[in-house]
Amino acid sequence: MKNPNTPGGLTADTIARVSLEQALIDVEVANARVVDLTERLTESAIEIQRLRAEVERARSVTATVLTNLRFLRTPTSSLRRLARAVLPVRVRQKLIRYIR
Amino acid sequence: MRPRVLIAMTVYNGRAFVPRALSSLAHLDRDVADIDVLVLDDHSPDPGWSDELGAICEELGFLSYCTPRNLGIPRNVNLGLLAAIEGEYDHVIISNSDVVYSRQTVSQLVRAAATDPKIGSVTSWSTNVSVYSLPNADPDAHLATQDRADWVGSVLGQRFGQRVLDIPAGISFAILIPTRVVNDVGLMDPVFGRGYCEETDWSLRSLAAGYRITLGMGAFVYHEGGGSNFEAGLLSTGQTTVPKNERIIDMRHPEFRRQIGEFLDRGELEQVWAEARRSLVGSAATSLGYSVTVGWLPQSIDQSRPHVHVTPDPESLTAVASFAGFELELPLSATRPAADLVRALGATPTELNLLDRGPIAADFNDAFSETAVVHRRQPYPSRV
Repeated sequence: MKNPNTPGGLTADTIARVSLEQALIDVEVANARVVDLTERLTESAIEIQRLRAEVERARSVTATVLTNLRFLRTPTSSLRRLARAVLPVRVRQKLIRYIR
Repeated sequence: MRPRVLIAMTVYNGRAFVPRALSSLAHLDRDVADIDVLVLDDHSPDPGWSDELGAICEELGFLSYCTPRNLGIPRNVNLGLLAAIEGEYDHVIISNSDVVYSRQTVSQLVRAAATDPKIGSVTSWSTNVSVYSLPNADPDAHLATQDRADWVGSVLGQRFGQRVLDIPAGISFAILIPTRVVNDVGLMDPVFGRGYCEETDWSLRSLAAGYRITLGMGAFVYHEGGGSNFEAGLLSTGQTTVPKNERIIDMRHPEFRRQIGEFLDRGELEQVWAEARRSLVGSAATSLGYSVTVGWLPQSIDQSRPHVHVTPDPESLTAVASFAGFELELPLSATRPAADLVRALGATPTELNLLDRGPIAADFNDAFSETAVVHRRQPYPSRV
């Protein structure tokens, strides 16, 4: 620290005191932010787990549907014969487009 | 009562450029405000430098304070803001240390702030102040001295006075903030770690609180840029910002990038750049005289005074006046180019270099051969 006295009334001791006070405030704010962020991180992690499980379930359902639809393309399959018998052409074309 | 201003200059190493900055602070005029200087040494690791800095400050009558450990820019800046509040100053100027203040800077900033109580900050103008930079070919070569900074400051001060331009965010290389605004808006957020973007965040918080963010076009400060931050390893070569801090701005202020785009699209900057260039080059031409070269190829020129290069193509006449890295395109007609030149610069040339024999060169010869020193150098055909 230099110049113990300056014009304007500020001194190095004043700056040191102000710095210490603000450092203590900064620590309090930093701690409060860590607590807040930890809470939000925990909530986000739970949300991520839930969304991942949902995505897995959706993937599984999609895979089953696609398997069944692909079966429609097998010329000898009973499902295809049934579909030709009961579904209108328009619907069958839509299904074919989808499973391509 | 005269306003009281505290200049809080943050320092980290910088033995090569800080003394120049401190010297410019000692040279400031005190016409409008009482000025005190607080130098905040952020625990510079350069051996012996902090003691040396303290001694320079003592000699200049500045208060210096070396923190017991490194705070980083935002918290070191906060120390300056808090000191201004503690000392009951009216304004605080947060300043980098790789700068040269023109003599009238503080007076101009204080005058600008006084024009409207809703002004929350006034950023000084410079050739290195983010997107607001006044274009210059090589500021470090042309403007890094006290004389040149004073000259630019004086011309811009006369031209723009206390005029301000509302800008999207302030730049804290040399920014004046009224202390009542600091009390209202708060401090720089330490979440920005060792620094960069903290003043953008602060500015946008001040805007949300109803204050104007402004650029003081009559207050010039030369800014080298990056000085302490390269030393601290905060920026690597070629970098001008800290990406992780920009991401915080993007998250907190998602509208900011759009606001910058809208501001630039409005074209206000181009207008004030043109005004500034006209004043700077025009003022130098009037006070120092200027030379004109009429020729097809660029020439090496005497850089101590303005120079105008005229490319003598009657179909597409171009003329560029330049001085101290500032360049100004002059609108000369092909029929009366000499008269247009005098009208544009407000003075006749003192030297004329004719490197062509066409009608444009003839017009200049007719107009100025009596009053200017004329050189006719044509060792080769003027065009291949």
